[in-house]
Amino acid sequence: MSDLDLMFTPLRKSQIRISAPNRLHCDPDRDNLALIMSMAAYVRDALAGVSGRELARRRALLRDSIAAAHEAGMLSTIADPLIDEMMSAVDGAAAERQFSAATDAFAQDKTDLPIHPTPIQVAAGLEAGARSRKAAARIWQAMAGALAGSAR
Amino acid sequence: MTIIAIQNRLIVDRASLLPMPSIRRSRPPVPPPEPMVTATIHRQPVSVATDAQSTVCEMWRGSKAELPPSFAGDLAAAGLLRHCSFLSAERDGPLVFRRIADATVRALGTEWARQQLGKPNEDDPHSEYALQISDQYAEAIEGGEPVHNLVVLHGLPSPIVYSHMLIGWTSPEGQKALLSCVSCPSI
Repeated sequence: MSDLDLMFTPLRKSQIRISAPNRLHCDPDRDNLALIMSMAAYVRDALAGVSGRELARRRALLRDSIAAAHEAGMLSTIADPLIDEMMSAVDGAAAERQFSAATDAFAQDKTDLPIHPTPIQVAAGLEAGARSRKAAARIWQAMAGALAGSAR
Repeated sequence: MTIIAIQNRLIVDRASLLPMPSIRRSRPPVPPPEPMVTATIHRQPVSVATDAQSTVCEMWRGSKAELPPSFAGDLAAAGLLRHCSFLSAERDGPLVFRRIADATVRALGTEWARQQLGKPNEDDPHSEYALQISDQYAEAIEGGEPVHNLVVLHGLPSPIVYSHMLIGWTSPEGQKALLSCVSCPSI
């Protein structure tokens, strides 16, 4: 893994075990950037409308990075409420987008409706001499189709 | 009538034309008033649902009771979308028709469906029926479990019997959605 890859990989708890000798190898710039990058990736993916499972994975990675940053002493717990509030707002926006996308997928155009007469129109067809309800409906459909054609 | 031909053009002396009979336009026919449609609703166990309704329930369980963006596409791929009506609501807003099942269009007519798409359920001209059904929709949305009913419609030239499987969702932000999988073998 290159230094660049490492820079863009969210930190995990398992990656940072702070002990006195290791603390010397901590690179605040690199680790801060990793935390910021995992936060940005989470926000970007949430607003891009990734699946719920993918977003949960991103959320877990971000939580892991935050926990690691706390352990490394790079992030004060004072920031926690703000981060929680941000994640809650992003989760809400993502859920709203997902729901809207799902409902929009059901939208039906008025021109896509099948052509069917109302029961009253069928009854009128029967009164006018159609032999059956199906025949009355077929006559109505043919007339509606012809009218639609002539209106073009 | 006098017709004079000058340089290959016909000139008609209008004064000599016979008066045209006046055409009395009849008034457009007045559509019959919308009938008062009411419903008798009988709760049914989910286990006696039709195959299409059962499959929709399984898909709902498969999505862990969430409404993924792929749900409409999955229904279409399974050939079930035409059996389904779908309504959605913004937070604190009314349920609005987004899709109407083919069977419902057959029962209530294309004109009804055309005017209802994009409108709240409560704006249905069959208001009594709409109010009765609204209670069932609310139960499915708030209860979080499928609701299966046998419905008899009265007030039409002949009663219509159908069943629907209602599945509801509420988003964390308070949006609502309702899917009604309709089975109506008689029409």
